[in-house]
Amino acid sequence: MNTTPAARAGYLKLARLQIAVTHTYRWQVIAFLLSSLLQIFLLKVVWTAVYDGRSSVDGVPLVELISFLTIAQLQLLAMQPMMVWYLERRIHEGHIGLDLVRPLPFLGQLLAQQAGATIGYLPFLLVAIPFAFVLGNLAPPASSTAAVFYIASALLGYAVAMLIGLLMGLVAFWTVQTLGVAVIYRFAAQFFGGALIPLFLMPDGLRVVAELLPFQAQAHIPLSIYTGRTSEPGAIAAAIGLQLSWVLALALLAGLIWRRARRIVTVYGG
Amino acid sequence: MMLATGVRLWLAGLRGALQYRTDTLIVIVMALVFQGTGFAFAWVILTRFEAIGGWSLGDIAFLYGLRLMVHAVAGVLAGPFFGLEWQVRTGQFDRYLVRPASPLLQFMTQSVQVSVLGDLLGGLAIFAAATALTEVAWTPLAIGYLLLAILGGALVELATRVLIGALTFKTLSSAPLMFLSDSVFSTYGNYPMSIFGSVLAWTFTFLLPLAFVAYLPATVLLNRAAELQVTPLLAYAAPLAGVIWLAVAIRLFNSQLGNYQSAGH
Repeated sequence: MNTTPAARAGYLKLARLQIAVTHTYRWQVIAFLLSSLLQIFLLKVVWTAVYDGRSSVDGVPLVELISFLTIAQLQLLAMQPMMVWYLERRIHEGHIGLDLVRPLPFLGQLLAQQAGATIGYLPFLLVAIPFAFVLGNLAPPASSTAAVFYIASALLGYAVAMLIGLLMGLVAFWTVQTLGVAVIYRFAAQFFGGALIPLFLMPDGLRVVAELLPFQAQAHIPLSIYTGRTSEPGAIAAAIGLQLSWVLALALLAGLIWRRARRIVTVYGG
Repeated sequence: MMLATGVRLWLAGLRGALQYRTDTLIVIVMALVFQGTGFAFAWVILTRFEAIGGWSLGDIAFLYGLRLMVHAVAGVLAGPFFGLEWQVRTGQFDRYLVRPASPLLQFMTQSVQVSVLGDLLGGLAIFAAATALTEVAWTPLAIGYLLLAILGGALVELATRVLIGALTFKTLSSAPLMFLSDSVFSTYGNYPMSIFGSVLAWTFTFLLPLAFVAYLPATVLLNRAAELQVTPLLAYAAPLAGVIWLAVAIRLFNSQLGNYQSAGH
């Protein structure tokens, strides 16, 4: 990537623009946030109802489960890939041509804007945390080691989410439409990522499928470390290693597709 | 006369939507995935645990399928409301005011959301599976009640959109609130209200009439009306709630129309 001072200033400007965009559409952000809080509360109510008075099922205490799911939901909110929508809009409206002739590499522009969008979201998330505590539950990490590895694992989860977002966005170079893929992704990430049912409570068949998909890297793996369910040094290393391999594989795939996509770009109305 | 106009406008909207075949297919799959995830969640939980608030897999599927069919029927007219704020802000709402038919009717029939087809498919499939898992005596009376309940539930959902939509003329914004009420209907509405505790169950019956969409009719058909905290009579009369809510909503919508300022004037 281009890292001259001028390029850095350009990236910073793009990121700042996205922070401003997030704040301009704050009602939309707040609606998303409220719907996540509603989801957190529903998860608590439903899981409490199925536990039916038992404090622990299959070695999973209800309190730990609710905390796991609450943080998983907040985490998915912080990991929304805006690139999907952005790429689709730029391609749809033909602005992609303009983006490609800018003096910064296009993927770099996207990353800077994504970073801006995520940073723009953070203050809203901060406000949501006390509500999430009341409507769901928030427990501190299992230990200080767990906290450190959780942060590393959550960052890798973020990278996986962004790479999947980028891949879905690149699909728009061929199909123009990505809305369908984006919606399907949102639900796959929730369901197979373990943000509704942690993988250790899934029936075996379903768990195997979830373990083969990249979505567990976004919520399930970091949260398992956070709650201390993955605590053996070997197990933590294996979990983070798996996330790293996903990051690498998805990055390679995205690079490959990007090289093909830029050759077939069609600018509408240009 | 009014009805014939409405039907003709709606059919034109449907023809318009079906022109985009790939889009149609994608939207149908999207609707199935969106609604399917919620059901898959309940299903997976119930393969491990026996019941949610005393409701078995069959009972929950019955409620879920019923709610989804209601959602599909409501979508026949409720689809365009998410675009209302845009039409009001840009002044496009003008065109409904210069034609002789009711503005609300013209607005609701302008375009058809093909996602209703996905909801209908999903709803029918889940409901059919549920009828195999539950023992409902399908007497003519029960079938008649079911049909009325679907229609009544759809009117409740539609009325909620109309009510929120009415705010648009003054506030110029209603989509976020609609999005929120919609997510409550499509998630909370799939569970027996009893699991929410009495305060919320009361709220979902009288303030946000969620219980009337599918829960109350489902308790009647599944012979569970005895577990209600409200009088079972309310459950039997549930299909009427939609008519009342819609009447109130239409009144409010029409009175709020006066606040419409159009754009650039």
